[in-house]
Amino acid sequence: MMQKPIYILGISCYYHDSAAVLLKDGEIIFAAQEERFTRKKHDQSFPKNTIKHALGFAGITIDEVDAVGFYEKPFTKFFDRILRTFFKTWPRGYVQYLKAMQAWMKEKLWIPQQLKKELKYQGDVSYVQHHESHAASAFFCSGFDDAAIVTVDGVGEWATATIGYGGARNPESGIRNSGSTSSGFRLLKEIHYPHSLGLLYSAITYYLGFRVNSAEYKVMGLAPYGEPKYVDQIKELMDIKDDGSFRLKMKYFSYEHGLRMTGRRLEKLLGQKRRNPEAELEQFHKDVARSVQEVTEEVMLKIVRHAKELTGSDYLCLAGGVALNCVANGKILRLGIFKDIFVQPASGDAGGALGVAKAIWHRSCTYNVRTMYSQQKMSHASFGPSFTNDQIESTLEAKNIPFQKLSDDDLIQTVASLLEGINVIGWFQGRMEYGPRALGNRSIIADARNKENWQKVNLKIKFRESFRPFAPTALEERVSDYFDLDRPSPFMLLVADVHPDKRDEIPAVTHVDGSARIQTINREQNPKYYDLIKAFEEKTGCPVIINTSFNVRGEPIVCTPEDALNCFLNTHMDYLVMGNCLIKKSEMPEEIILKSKEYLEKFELD
Amino acid sequence: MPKPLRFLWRLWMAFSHILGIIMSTIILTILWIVGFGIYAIVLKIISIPSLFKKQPESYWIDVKPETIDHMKYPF
Repeated sequence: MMQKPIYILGISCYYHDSAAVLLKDGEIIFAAQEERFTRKKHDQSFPKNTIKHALGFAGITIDEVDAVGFYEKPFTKFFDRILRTFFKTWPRGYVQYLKAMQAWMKEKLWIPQQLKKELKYQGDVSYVQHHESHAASAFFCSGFDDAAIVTVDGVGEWATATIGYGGARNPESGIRNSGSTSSGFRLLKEIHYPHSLGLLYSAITYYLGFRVNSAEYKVMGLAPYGEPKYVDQIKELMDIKDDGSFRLKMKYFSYEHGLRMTGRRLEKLLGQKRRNPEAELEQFHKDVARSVQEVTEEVMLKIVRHAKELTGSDYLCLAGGVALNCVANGKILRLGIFKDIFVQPASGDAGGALGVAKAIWHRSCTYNVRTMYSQQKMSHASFGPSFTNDQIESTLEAKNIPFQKLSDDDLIQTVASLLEGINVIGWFQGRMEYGPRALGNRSIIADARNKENWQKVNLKIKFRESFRPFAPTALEERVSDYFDLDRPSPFMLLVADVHPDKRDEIPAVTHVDGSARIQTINREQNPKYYDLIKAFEEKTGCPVIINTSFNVRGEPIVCTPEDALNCFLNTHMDYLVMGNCLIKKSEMPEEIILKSKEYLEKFELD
Repeated sequence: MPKPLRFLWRLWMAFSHILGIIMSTIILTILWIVGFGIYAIVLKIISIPSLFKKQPESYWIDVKPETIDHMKYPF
């Protein structure tokens, strides 16, 4: 008799980027963020839409789910860390207390009740600590049998940064754990709130007039335009030890007691007031961005060095929001103390849903299954919903949109030809990506050889700041020809230099400092996207194209054909390719295109 | 529900929502001043000696390993 598969549902929510992940016998079968369905960026609400899609994808009901896990310990977070912080910050923390108490009392403490209310789930819920979830999401997807694990983010329960070890040895003695046939993981060291590298970066993000928990990557993108003139002032904000541990000087920060991240003391230290959102960016802001980036890199390098000393492992797993800092990741790789590193593509809180599900599987379920578990590497992130050609055609026909349906071969050749030059194309294929990056299924693509495409996509399509760089997708086998990178980077999480002689060839993806945030692609990961770039290479000799997420500023990445069509119609995109359907902007009836102002107003600026 | 009553129902719900916000703010404020206040003052006094503690050589804290059973609990 066939053994019933084991389904595990992981959930993360109530802070930012809520998400759900469904595992079947330990393998991811569905993963997505709630924002994609509710169309509210960084949506933190209970991910009921994602869960419904996940169950629908698996063809099961919630009663058939064997275990449900939540990505952190809400009671520890509230009754220990948050209440203690209230005592510490009394009486100044009154406003934050009022806000937090209402949110926690109303919903954040009631996870099982929410599951019952929203999904009619009657079973138990498992809880894994926030940073353990991050660590599990990285280690159990890394394919490494023995690795150091570093997680760094804003804050979980108490921890803001941890060092852990995954594998079968005892990291202290170096001796293999007796009787251990498969690797588990455990956290060894941690740094506690309020001392947080993630919150330091967020505080400077706030100071620079960008949105916290959303626009930290803008600071990273802005940094190469500046000089590290304020490194001493940023270091004045904290005490950094040689082993990478640190302590923030809380007099400069107000996030412990207020609704703002920083106050007047920081303004005095840096010599200027906080930049108002959308105000002009001056050289000063670029220099501050560069300085905080340099200090972050310095601390991260010290932490991973210490992780190496503690664990003796040759491999490193990274997760937590700070692991999305791909400039720092690139430097960690080039440090050369690890043979390889794995960065979880959903490193932010969305990845916690994956981590808790994987932790439950490896800790509780492996004895139940026929085969012993072996470490499997996460080779792609396409775990969201997909749409058939019939569904796409129905959407287009319902809206009277003229389109051309092409065979697979014709589609690849036609789009590769259209890519040459100035056309900007919306590329909507297969299953939506999990995590913050579009990796070739919900992407806007263009010719990386044309520098004008950089500004065109920034200003006329994404409606975002002109300084923002674009990432390239490169054929995996040709990546070393163009970039100072000797290995795959499938999740766009490593930054490396473009070879000096290639910078003029692909100016649209070469950042001002000569670097690029690289995504490599091989045919196994995404055959259609690979074939497209291969065909482009055959026509032009260039194996690199621009890849940016399919959305406008403040909008979640598109999920459905309707979302893609709306985004296409309301921006200056030239073509939209959905499945095998090609839609030309020039053939659109005038009355339905370019209402970009009204469209943009729907989304809050990030 | 008949139409005229529907309007009244919405009005009542809006009023009760506002009343809820006012009530919870008052109750939480009293709790902040009385409950949290007393405890916070005691804690602040107790923690005075820690201000004179020597800075540690490292800020890393050892993690207490958790057992599988711990996953059952939200704490």
